[in-house]
Amino acid sequence: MPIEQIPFPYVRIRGKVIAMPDGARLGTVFAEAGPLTPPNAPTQWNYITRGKSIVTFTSSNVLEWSVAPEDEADFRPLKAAFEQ
Amino acid sequence: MIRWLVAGIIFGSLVFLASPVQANHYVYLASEANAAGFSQYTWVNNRWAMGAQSHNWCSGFTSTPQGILNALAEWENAVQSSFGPEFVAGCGPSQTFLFLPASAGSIPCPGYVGCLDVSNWGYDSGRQAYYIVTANIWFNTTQYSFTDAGYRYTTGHELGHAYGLHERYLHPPPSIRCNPDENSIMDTATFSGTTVTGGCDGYNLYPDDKTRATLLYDLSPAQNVATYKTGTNSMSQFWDDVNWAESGYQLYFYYWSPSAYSWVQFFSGLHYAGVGPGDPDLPVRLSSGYSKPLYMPSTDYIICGYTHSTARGYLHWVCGQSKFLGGEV
Repeated sequence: MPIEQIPFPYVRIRGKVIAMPDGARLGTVFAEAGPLTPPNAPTQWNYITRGKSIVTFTSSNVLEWSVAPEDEADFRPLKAAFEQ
Repeated sequence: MIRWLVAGIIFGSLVFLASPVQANHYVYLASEANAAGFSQYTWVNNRWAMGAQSHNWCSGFTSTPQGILNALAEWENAVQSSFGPEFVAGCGPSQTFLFLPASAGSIPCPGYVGCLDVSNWGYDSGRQAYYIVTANIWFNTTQYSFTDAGYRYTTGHELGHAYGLHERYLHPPPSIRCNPDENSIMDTATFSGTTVTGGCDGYNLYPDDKTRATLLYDLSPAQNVATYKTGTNSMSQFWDDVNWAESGYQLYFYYWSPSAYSWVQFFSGLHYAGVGPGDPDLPVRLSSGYSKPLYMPSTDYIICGYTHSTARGYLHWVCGQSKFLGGEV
């Protein structure tokens, strides 16, 4: 079976296919709520990170947008997808 | 997804009344796209296609809680009987699971009991599916405390996600609560104050958890096989692929030799289809075919094959119908 361990090639944000910024990594968090978890907090989200930059998002919301100035250009297509 | 939508149309408001209580939790994570737009076929590294025999795990605890070790042993027992990996303690580049207390770094899920952070996804271009390479399992030890049963439940639950299982608790917004209709490690946690004491259904894996997880790795035969003659010298064969994992079909093409009074193999090859873009509730319809060149004999032809995976080997020999190629009999 052909297996490739490759960087995540793209993400699909709100129906639009966006290439991952070069060298960025995509992760997924499955979280378990407890009494200290805010009501209606998500239990699953994704993040894209590179260097000091991280963008955390669910299907409906951007939870955190922390992009370093040197990464802004590469993350611009991602931002545009979230803003559409 | 399609099935759910159809049900929604048919039953209308009944579904929408019921859906907040059930929170639309599928049994498998792969049954829905995540926020990044892909189905999470969370087979775990090493036994996916690499051929390795172990899932290496590493601990960031000064002394790994016994509950973590017990949950690891229970999951090992469950998956080993199906596809063989051992859980081996070992830190380094090949580690699959890393268990961490909140004090070990910046926990990605503050306020939560804990979380599974899939920090590295791999991609199988053949099956067009993503799988876990490495995952960190965090325990929020700064905001919560854990009994041994609490550690065992939390570990078992997060490993359940790693092996592809979705939540099974009820989730009427804004709260989460135990599902009385399920006995599963994927139900929610129980608490005494901010101490995690276990899960709604205890801290053990239940038969449903084991069956559901191993189903992802089991191999099934080709189903609904249909063979057609598509021309004087050509034939096609179709079948349903209901398998999930890194599986395909090792096909063998034969023609009938009257002189030898036996089937003669003249070609074989691996055949598979992408599962990532599709709905895992629905089988993938596969097809193969053969067009006889003039130099091949006019006789009966047949296509057979095994379901194959690197983890499980070759199983379930299935043949289609033979067809005469080379002119009508």
